[in-house]
Amino acid sequence: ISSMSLAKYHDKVKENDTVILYLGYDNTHAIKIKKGSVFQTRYGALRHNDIIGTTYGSRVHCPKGYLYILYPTPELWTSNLPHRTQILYTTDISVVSFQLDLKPGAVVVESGTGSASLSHSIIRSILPDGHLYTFEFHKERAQKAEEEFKDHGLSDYVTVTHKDVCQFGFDLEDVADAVFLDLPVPWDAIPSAKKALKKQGGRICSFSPCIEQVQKSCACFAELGFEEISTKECLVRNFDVRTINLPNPEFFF
Amino acid sequence: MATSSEPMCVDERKTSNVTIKEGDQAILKKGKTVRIFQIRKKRDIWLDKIKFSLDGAVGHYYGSTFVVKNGQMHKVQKTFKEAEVLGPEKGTDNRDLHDLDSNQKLSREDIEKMKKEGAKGQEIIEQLIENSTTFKGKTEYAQEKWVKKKKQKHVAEFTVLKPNTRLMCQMYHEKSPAKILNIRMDTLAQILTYGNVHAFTNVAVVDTCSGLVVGAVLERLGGYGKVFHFHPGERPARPIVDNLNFPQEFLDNLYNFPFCEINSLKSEEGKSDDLIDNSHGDSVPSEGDSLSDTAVKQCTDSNTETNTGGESTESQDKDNTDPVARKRKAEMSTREANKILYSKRLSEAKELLLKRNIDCLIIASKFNPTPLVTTLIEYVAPSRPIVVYSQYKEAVMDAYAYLREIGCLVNYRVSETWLREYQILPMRTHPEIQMSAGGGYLLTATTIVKEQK
Repeated sequence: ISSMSLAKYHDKVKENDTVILYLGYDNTHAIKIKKGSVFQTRYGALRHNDIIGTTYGSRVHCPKGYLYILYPTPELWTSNLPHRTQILYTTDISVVSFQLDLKPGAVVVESGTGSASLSHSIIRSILPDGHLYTFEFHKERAQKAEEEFKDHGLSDYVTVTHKDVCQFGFDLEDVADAVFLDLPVPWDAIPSAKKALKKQGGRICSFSPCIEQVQKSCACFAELGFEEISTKECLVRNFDVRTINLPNPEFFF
Repeated sequence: MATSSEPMCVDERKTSNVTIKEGDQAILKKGKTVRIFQIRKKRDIWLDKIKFSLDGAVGHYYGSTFVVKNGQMHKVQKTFKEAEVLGPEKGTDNRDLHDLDSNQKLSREDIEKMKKEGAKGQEIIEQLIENSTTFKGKTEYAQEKWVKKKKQKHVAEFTVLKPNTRLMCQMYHEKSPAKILNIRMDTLAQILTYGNVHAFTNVAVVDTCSGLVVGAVLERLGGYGKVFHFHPGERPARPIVDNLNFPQEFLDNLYNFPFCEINSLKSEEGKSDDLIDNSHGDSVPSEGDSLSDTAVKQCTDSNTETNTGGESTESQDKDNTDPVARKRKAEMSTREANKILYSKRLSEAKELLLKRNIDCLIIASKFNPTPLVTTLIEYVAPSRPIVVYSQYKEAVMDAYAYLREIGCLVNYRVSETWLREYQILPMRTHPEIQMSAGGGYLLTATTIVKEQK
């Protein structure tokens, strides 16, 4: 039985691995390796059997071109995972992880799991001795997340619970170093989140697309005695770097 | 959009790493002022123009709030909220308010007198309110803002926090950004994430930003995995790593690699080193610079052995009784031991690097990044991230253009992150007035298997 793991790099592609195919800028795909399978690309067919045993980072040739086989980091997974909900992208994931002081051994509580984009990143940052408790109120999404964690060798580090934490709470007390909320009504979950946090102190983050939600969440945090309440927005700007020649105008006929 | 905050609840659990101890590095935070101090009993420190000793903090939990009275720290449960001191009277706008010194009847001396007599912060503020002719005419929001300002000025209340990367980055970015090459927290966050820095990875870092990146990487590694700190000069300057107070096990995984040794690394391929063979089976040595007791003992033991063997008993007695000679001998032994340790660590580092399985290369230095990448990339395994940081767009763009030409990487990205903070208050929500302009630029890419030509 092969052990795929986003937790630890390994050198060669094995069956059941999730690999990232790099075809070019903004042209990447995540595929699960299965003997006999074929993946169609713009360069022609890519047989899984041809990839098994190659070293990650290798160039693989297709009938009409070539591509690279890359190891699935959480960042590459985020850019290529199948969306079941709107996801968090690496820019925000980075800031959240940093502000929650994530590191090995941290215990983190999260809701909603969504498409598990952030979840993968959290697990990566807290393993091997940390744990993620993630809650999702949509049954199929919870199941899909659990499957993915298993596929990616991360099951030991995460517990997925199908539950509506806004109605029923987390049912956790004094365990978490950090809590992350990505909910439409976060203030309904904040009291239970506070209970889940360790009594010695911890960090909490609520992620909202709308300023009205942020206002209500901040008011709730203040009311419950949280300190150092701060709100940030982080945007990324990618550069298209090109060397171009500006022709000189000619001033004569 | 995200918010973060910490609950200030405390319980009676006595875990060692959540209690303030003497000798700890501790961060003192007062509003926006963030400073780091080493807790030393009976030694006074200055914070925001107030002098006091840190004795009162020892034994309390990190995250506790303290107030200064007569040069001593006293724990308080919670800061009083601005709203608590506001009365029912308020105005509607500032059309009749004039900004005059005479608005406040209390003089500076009056306030100092109150403080000396041990008046609580809340009492002082209440007195200031009573003696203000304009306070009752201000709007509720203006009153809150005014009280907040007075609190900042007259109430010496602050929180003691355990140093971590986030707080160190915040502190340096505010106080001396040049020392960390202007790395802003969101940029550092991207570096760690894009580098896939986590337990069991081996990370090579070129760091000339006071050790901020090395420290951040060590924190994310949690003691699992190795860090190679490439630095100019003989000894690395990384005060931030010291401030972060890592346990010795973490530091045992941190190797120093001066630039001047890189050439010898290049020519070392295939050579075996005598010192490396000797190191197998030895106890794990401590970080290069610090003295290992075992090494000194071995050195001094061997010294005394040779002395008993070679010299006459007379001269031995003289050496033993002369304190100056004894001190000089001890210093020489220490220096010898350090030298041996240093070259042992360096050989270990070289051996590890030559395995060419570095999982992440991070460059955050004042030097031109391009030669650093081209020189160090061969020690990085294929399909691994490379992150290059520079305060200057041109440096990152040049690296990108050059590396693309020689074709040793894929998945390139040149980016900059933009960070905006917000004030969130009912009817007073808006972005903060000041926004940081530059957090630096990043080039990220992934290594590939080198093509055999």
